[in-house]
Amino acid sequence: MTSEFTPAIGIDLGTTFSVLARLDDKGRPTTLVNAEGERSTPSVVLFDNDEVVVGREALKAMATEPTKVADGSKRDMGQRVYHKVINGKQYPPEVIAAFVLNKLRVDAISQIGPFSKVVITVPAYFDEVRRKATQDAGYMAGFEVMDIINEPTAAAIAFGFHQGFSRDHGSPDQTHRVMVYDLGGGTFDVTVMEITGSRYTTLATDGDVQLGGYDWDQRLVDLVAEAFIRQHFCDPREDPIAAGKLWRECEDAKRTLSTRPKASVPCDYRGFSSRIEITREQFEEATRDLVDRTRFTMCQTLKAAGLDWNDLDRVLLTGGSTRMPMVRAMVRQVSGKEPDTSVAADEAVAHGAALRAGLLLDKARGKPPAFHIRNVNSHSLGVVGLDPTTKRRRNGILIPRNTPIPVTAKRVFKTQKENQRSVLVEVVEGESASADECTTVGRCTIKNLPLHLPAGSPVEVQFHYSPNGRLKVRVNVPHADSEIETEFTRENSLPKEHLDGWRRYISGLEPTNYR
Amino acid sequence: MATTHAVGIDLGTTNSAVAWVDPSGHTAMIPNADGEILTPSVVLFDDAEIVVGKEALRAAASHPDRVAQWVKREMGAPVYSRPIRGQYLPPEVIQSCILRRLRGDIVTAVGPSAKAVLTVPAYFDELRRKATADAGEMAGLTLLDIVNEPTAAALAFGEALGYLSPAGKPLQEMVVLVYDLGGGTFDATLLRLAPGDIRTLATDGDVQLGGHDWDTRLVAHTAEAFRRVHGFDPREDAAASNRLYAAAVEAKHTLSARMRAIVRVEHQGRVAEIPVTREEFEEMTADLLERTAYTIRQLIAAARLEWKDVSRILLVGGSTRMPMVARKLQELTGIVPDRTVNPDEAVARGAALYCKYLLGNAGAEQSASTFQVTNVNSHSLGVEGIDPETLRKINVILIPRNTPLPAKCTQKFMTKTEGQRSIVIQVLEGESGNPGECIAIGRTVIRDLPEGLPKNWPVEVTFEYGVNGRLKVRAGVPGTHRETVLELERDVGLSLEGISRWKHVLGGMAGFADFEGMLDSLLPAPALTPAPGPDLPPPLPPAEKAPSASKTGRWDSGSAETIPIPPMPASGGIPVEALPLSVPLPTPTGFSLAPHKSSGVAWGGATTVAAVAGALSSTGQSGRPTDAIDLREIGIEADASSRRARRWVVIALGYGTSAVLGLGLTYLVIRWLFPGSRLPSLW
Repeated sequence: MTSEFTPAIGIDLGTTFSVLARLDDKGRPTTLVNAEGERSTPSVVLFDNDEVVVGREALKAMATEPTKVADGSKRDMGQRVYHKVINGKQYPPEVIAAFVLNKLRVDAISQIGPFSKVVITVPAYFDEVRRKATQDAGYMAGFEVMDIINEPTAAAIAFGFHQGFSRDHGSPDQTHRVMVYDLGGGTFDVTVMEITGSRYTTLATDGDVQLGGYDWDQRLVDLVAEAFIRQHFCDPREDPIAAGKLWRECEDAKRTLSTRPKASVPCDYRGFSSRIEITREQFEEATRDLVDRTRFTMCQTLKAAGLDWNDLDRVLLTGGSTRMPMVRAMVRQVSGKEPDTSVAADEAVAHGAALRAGLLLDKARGKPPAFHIRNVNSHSLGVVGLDPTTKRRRNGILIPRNTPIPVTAKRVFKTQKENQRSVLVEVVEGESASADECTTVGRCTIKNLPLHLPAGSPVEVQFHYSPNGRLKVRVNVPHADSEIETEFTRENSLPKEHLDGWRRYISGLEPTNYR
Repeated sequence: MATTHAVGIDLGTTNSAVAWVDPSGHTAMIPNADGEILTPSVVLFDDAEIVVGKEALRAAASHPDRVAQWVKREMGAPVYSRPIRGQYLPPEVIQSCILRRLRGDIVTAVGPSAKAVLTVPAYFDELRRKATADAGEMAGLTLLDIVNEPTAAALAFGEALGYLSPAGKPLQEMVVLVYDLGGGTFDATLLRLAPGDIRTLATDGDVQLGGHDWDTRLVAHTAEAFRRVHGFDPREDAAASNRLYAAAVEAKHTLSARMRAIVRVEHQGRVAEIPVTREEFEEMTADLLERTAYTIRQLIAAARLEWKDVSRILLVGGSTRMPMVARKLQELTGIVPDRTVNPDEAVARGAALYCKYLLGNAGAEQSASTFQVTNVNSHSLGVEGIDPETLRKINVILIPRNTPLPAKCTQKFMTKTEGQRSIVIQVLEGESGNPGECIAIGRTVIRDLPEGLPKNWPVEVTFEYGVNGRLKVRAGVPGTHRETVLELERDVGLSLEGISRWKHVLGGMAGFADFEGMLDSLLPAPALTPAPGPDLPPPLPPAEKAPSASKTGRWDSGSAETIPIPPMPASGGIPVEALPLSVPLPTPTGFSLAPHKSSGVAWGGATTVAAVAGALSSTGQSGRPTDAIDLREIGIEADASSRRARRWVVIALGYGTSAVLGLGLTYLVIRWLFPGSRLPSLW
């Protein structure tokens, strides 16, 4: 095969669909199809008795064998176990994601030969814990994950590539400010970025974890089911098989409605069968509030970036759901600009990831990188401290959200009482000032402080947030010469030996120690 | 200069795909309006519009009489086997509806100035190629050529591996087997790839074998199981049958990924869920797979190669996703089949490359192509002659199958009788020596020969077979200046006039309603007789149908009948094999056909392919002499009516039985409900 060099592979691990892309011999990103010939593989895993099936067939089985099928594991990333019990077993969500990734790997290998280095994307709002889980999923699937990057960043890179920013002759002085509007199957993201020549800087990011094309499907299913009830007085949603079929038909009809003014949905239940016609207006009427939610997020993000609509050059649409004309119309109306669809909605993220992989491989080979990326953190990071007056647990924020990364921040806390022998540093993520409303990312303790340390002795806490979204914490008590440094291992992550076991099981590959 | 874009269209039996060569010189797929790469080759003739694709496929279950599917398998036949809303349509008209839709997608994606190459299975004969070209013409496409699917697939493969640029990294020559198992056709082709040169070595195939047959087996299996449970067969009902097919296709796909699948059959309110395991499925279709294995064994023998000479096996066509295919090939050849190119896209991509290459050659664009393609013919071509000894008609083969194209061959014949005034040259396609077993694909007549020509006067017949698979026949009588040239047209099928009228109809058409109004003028046969006219209105007065009709003034029509036997015996009065006079050898290059304007552009084999371009440029608008009527029409009539009669019997029996059973059941129920009632006793 043509593998005298390592192929640059990028993977968009999506909530509903995943896509794998690579750079071809001319350095252009191309999507690889899976064994079924599809550009995107449903991120659905079927655990059958003797086999694990990923993709379209697993999706099909969802209607008939729902207890054996795991979907949407991305929404559970960072949790200890997937929310559903599959065949009596509880799988960690990253294991389910690893099965999906492994299918992408195996299918790609049959086309381009063996490879292991990849870049995987995550939503911008993914926190430390979920990024780590994604990285672990990649490891278990037999990959060597070179980097985890944000989806909107990847989309912008793909866009930049198409516009020629990333090439040498791209106008380096010109600054483009773009907004990436990413409406996928299950999540929604808005990111404002600045592209200067080959530099990609994220200015602000926001999103809605529970909003996606899925919700539009749900509305359409309801519309059709109600029409069916009016005709035949029974509800096809009652029966899981009929509901599953109806769901698939509606998904299809949703796509049809993006190209045609009306679509008809066949619906069979209890021997009744009818074709229910839905017009685009009806559909748009029924989903107006969903579009409005995304509009709200757009305005918020723009404000957070300190920009005005006039400061934006482009609004990039990515994610399959942005094919819906109502989304485009809304974006056009709000921004006053024609939304940019020059990148393939479903594939842009994977393409951007592949470009990033190419960049990293070039770097490893000593070539100068073609572009730079600067991200912001999507959640404020802080340390839990006690408010001296109210004695309540407060969130002492070190790195506010939307701070460009990498960043190092330091803040001095004080010991609480005299003769304190240990200090507990609890790192939290979240915007609220009350520590209890934030998520604990991890904790560390300094023990064996010298005796007789006075109350209020300084404790320096330093955060270093690296570009891949991983956090390093250093705690220093100057009077005691005690210092610890930890890279966070999240509390519910799988231990290394488990990861290796899964890796052998899922990908049939031996563990590697690339980290 | 407005750039002309090169587009390749893979018009498949179940799915079609379109690719183009983007400005950077790479191929890219053109998605349809639904955003999908594959468009189901299904046409729904609805009232308000003609719908092609996914929606039409879905409608197959609810409106089977309005939906046409798997039309490619019937290309070359006068009409599609099933009536569409009571009308029998020529298959190429249905195909052109699909192409029209694809054309719309092309225009949206790359603009109106696109030229296209269509693909056909290598095994398609002249008739079917012509029908395909006609469909493209009717759809308003600017067709540059018809190319063989395996050749296209090999081009796509060549692109992926860098074989198309001779300047690229050094690549060694290799022999590739393209195994193309599509929805409805099977093709196997051996090609030799060298940097910048793609040469077909041999080709073979089966136009009636494809994924559809696998579906049919599964349908038969499940329908049988359903019948065992419920006592009747869902295949009797067209709508139920279509639903069952859809379920079987789903199950087939499932079985490629899983070990078992469940086919859910619903018919008349009864439901049966029939489990099928992969093993069962493979068992019930083993003979189909064996047929493909047989073909490739034949092929390797025809090319005088062994499996160790073959370096790669290229899988093309969605049906090659079935695990049994790769396994069988590996067993047979010891080679692990290659999946470098996407089996769904390879053909369209390759066609786009070929189109680009033709455009480059024609000087339409500065970027001259860097590769060349050599095809072979898939069927032997000959002339009907008369064996002077036995006086039997024989097929004198001028161009044997698997001859590299373009080929030119001249053969001498002789007049049969003294003072013969005209000569019929009947062109045959087929391997058999007996003309009765071959397909007559065209004829031409030399007439008005001078009087008093002695017996055994030489007649020279020249076949020129272009790379596009079109044949030009030239016949001359030395010393008389009588010559005739035949650019081969189909004996059956649509005339040029018919095509242009269909084109007009299809172009302005919104739905079947409009369509229907026009149909009367286009389909001569009223719907009540099941046999429709082959096509169009003007196939000449019916008198012409009879082979012994009166003379008409036109050279191609009735008058040929004046000279039923006088054709030319084989040269030297000896059986055909011995004709040493001319050089019946296919000369791959050598000759120059129409001196082509742009020959000698940057690539090596200029002559070879320039000839192609020259020939094909004339295909589209070539005059169309033959309007001869198809005799098969009659065959169809008989066939269809008997089928219809049989159906009526079945229906009558069905109704009768159900009436009796129903009455009996009602009786029993009443007896059971009201035991005391005074119903007459059953016995």
